Amino acid sequence: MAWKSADVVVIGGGIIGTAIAYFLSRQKIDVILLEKDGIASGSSGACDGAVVMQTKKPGVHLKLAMESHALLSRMQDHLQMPIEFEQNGGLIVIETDEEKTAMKQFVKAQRQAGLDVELLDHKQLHALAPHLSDHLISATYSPQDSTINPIALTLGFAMGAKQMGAEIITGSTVSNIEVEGRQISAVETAAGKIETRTVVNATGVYASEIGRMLGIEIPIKPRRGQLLVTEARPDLLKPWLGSANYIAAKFNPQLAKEGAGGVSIDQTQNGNFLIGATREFVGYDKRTTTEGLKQIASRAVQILPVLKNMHLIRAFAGLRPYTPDGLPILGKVEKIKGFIMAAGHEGDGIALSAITGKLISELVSEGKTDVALDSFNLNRFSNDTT
Amino acid sequence: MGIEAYDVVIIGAGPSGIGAATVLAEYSLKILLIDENNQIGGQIWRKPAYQPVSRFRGHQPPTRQPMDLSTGIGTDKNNLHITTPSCVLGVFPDKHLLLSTSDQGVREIKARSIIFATGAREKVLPFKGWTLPGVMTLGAAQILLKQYGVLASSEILISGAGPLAYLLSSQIIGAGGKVTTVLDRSSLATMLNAVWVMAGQLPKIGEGLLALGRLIKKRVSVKHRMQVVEVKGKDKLQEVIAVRIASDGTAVDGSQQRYETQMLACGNGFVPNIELPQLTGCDLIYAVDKGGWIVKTDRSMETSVSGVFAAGEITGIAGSDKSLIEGRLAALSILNQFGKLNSKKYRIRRAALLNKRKHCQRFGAFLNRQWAIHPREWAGIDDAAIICRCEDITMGTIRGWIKKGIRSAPDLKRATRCGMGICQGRTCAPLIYEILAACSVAGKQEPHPLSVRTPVKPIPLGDLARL
Ligand SMILES: Cc1cc2nc3c(=O)[nH]c(=O)nc-3n(C[C@H](O)[C@H](O)[C@H](O)COP(=O)(O)OP(=O)(O)OC[C@H]3O[C@@H](n4cnc5c(N)ncnc54)[C@H](O)[C@@H]3O)c2cc1C
Ligand SMILES: Cc1cc2nc3c(=O)[nH]c(=O)nc-3n(C[C@H](O)[C@H](O)[C@H](O)COP(=O)(O)OP(=O)(O)OC[C@H]3O[C@@H](n4cnc5c(N)ncnc54)[C@H](O)[C@@H]3O)c2cc1C
Repeated sequence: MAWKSADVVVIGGGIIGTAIAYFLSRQKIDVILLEKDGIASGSSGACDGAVVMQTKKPGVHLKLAMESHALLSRMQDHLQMPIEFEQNGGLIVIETDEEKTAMKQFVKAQRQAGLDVELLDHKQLHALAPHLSDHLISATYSPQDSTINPIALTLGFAMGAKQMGAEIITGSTVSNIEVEGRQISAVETAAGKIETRTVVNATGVYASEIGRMLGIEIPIKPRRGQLLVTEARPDLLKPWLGSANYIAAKFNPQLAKEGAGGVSIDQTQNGNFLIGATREFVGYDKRTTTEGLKQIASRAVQILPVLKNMHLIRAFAGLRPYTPDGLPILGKVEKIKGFIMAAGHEGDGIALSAITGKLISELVSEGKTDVALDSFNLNRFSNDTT
Repeated sequence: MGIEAYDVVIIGAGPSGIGAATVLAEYSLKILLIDENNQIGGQIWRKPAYQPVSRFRGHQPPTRQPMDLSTGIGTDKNNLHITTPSCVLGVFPDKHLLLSTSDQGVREIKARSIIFATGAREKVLPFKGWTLPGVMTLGAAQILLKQYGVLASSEILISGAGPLAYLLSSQIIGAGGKVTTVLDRSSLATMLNAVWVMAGQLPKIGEGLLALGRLIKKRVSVKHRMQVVEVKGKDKLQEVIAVRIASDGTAVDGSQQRYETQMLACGNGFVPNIELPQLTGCDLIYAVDKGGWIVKTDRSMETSVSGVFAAGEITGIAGSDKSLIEGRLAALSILNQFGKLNSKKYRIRRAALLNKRKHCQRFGAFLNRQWAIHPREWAGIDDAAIICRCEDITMGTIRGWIKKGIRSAPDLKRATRCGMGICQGRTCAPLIYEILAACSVAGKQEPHPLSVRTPVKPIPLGDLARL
């Protein structure tokens, strides 16, 4: 006998799963969300809150991000949790002429894609962020870049979904997925079986485990990011800040100079600084390392010297759901009917959460989406290899 | 820069750490004893109080230990290195430790074996207004007196339970201060019971009698079963309001008392400093009769992580005697593992120490029971009382989230930010575990500790950058 049944079962209570549950229940679709631990206990509870457009690749990636940004900027009106969405702009700071040349190209492509972004000179930069180190020669600036509290947003989506009728079950691990013919029929948990014909895999770095239950290979693996949090201080830095070699490290590791890793700095509404992050492949190890802490701290202090005397209160690591091409895996999986992927957002899951939720709910209710999901389909990887 | 390696690194130089160091120092091992205080001694042997404030000489053994040790300190013969004030900030794989020192900045060291002897800190039962200047903990008042020779105030009101409330009162009187009233949460019967539990531990009884004698002589009024529920004052403490707590944990109608005072010292027991072992991955156990979350060890004091030992208050609150014994036990086990003490000798010495420890544990269980807070007392705490002092999270906010279905401390932290501030939950986490247990309606749940992050104490980012 089945324990429960639902039209859709979403696996994973991170930002992606809760956003999907939220948008599905907004469409009055009967949904159960299963989370093995607590809401936001995975990557979405161990990350930064950048909703930054400048760091997205011009093309479909940036297009999705901009749509998501538009949704997130209005999200507070719909959610009870204060999600701290702030559009304070974003800076990519530049340290060398070489970086400047590369960033000029990047900005050009982004502007063509419709992003409001410009190159600032030394004077403009220091007027905008007076505490920055004088050695920064320039920066790109986009007034559209924003930040949000990722934990609050995840909880907000979850509570919103619940209010509209979704059932959210925490402490519940999906151990197997049943298939009849090629059609999904149920998911199994320790408490019992839940009958459903549609399953959304929103398990982030664990997505490949769920895939294995169905004999499907999903090329998502964890990429660790170590993050530092300082004590709170009154306003010292308004915009979100990334370094030019942060962009390099994100898209092209070869470009990132040795010993000078990319860094991002953001002062939250509470006044704490969030400083990130390393990019390492070390499996599911969520520990911090002395090298990692030192690397981030020394880069941050170089860029924003006032940080030198501020206290580090905690350091932690989260796992980004990495995919080989840096794009998430979204949409139906051909081999199994009723199996939908929504994972692999790497370092952009918070920024892309709302659009992911919206598109997946459209896919479930209408069978198609506003924005074509072809370039995000899982089959892009199998085509590569065969 | 090379990473300095030691055979044994001992973190904490209270009775447990010193107990371990004195045993290990007899052997040719490279040992490092670390304490974040300026001097070794821990809570009980906090200097310069080596010359006891009292003239009572009954309780000598502990005070002799650090003396013995200090004569051997620094002599290369022993290979016992001591670094103070130095704080261990974090533990990394392969027994690497991040150490912040006053002279050499932040540096990394490594160990073959680690002994955690990090002791305990105080716990306070919160009440409305407890963040007002003029309210401090018993321990803070004691540190001011012991370490700096300063009285917190010319007059002071003391509230709490257990020996520290009386000990502090006695120390204040001995130093020429005035204690106006002692509000004891426990009953007179409990106190008399203490004498019974401590039978066989004459020095403790002596200490207790001395304290009581002083209170009687100075006509200090001692009120039992009284708990502070609110303090008031403009910018600083002016008035303390207390009620009588019935045995079912509720406030007795009409029992309210008001006291005018400018200084209140309060405390309700101790909680183990388990952060570093937790960070290391050592298994923990939640045991209310041992002070909350404690480090799990076997009979050799080894934790679930091999080569990592825990001794003293962090394996269960029970006072200095147990700490000293466990420090020695851990040291003997390491000597045995290193092949410096044969198994037969080891087992004999271990059995003797384990036997002595039993009495201490009985005393410990008694203490922790005395500090236990009835679920109904938690229910009686005002909505406006702050629970997380760093982030200003009130009891009312926490109640709201429990009503919304939150059951675990990590979930509560994510929802409210409690425990995310500068103290990283050192103050509020133990309270939150109890609040969740007391206020949650749902059936029994495995309590979940809050996660611990490096650094366990804040450090300037610049220091880390220079590592
Ligand atoms: C250091 C760092 C900084 C970052 N900064 C940013 C940023 O500034 N902006 C941004 O947009 N993104 C950022 N990210 C990326 C972002 O955190 C992730 O992309 C996002 O959190 C992924 O969300 P998710 O819901 O897919 O995964 P998760 O949040 O990990 O959710 C997946 C959930 O699935 C659950 N689960 C797994 N298996 C099962 C099972 N079998 N049954 C039931 N439940 C299961 C897990 O417990 C987990 O809670 C950062 C990441 C890191 C590590
Ligand atoms: C505030 C307070 C006051 C007390 N007063 C008394 C008293 O007057 N009489 C009495 O009998 N008992 C007192 N106690 C009880 C006390 O716990 C025991 O008597 C005894 O000191 C316990 O010994 P220990 O070795 O287990 O821990 P402790 O004596 O507490 O020693 C632990 C040591 O570890 C150090 N430490 C902790 N973390 C780190 C770190 N990360 N890096 C470096 N060093 C670290 C601390 O500085 C401390 O010196 C008091 C306890 C507290 C909390």
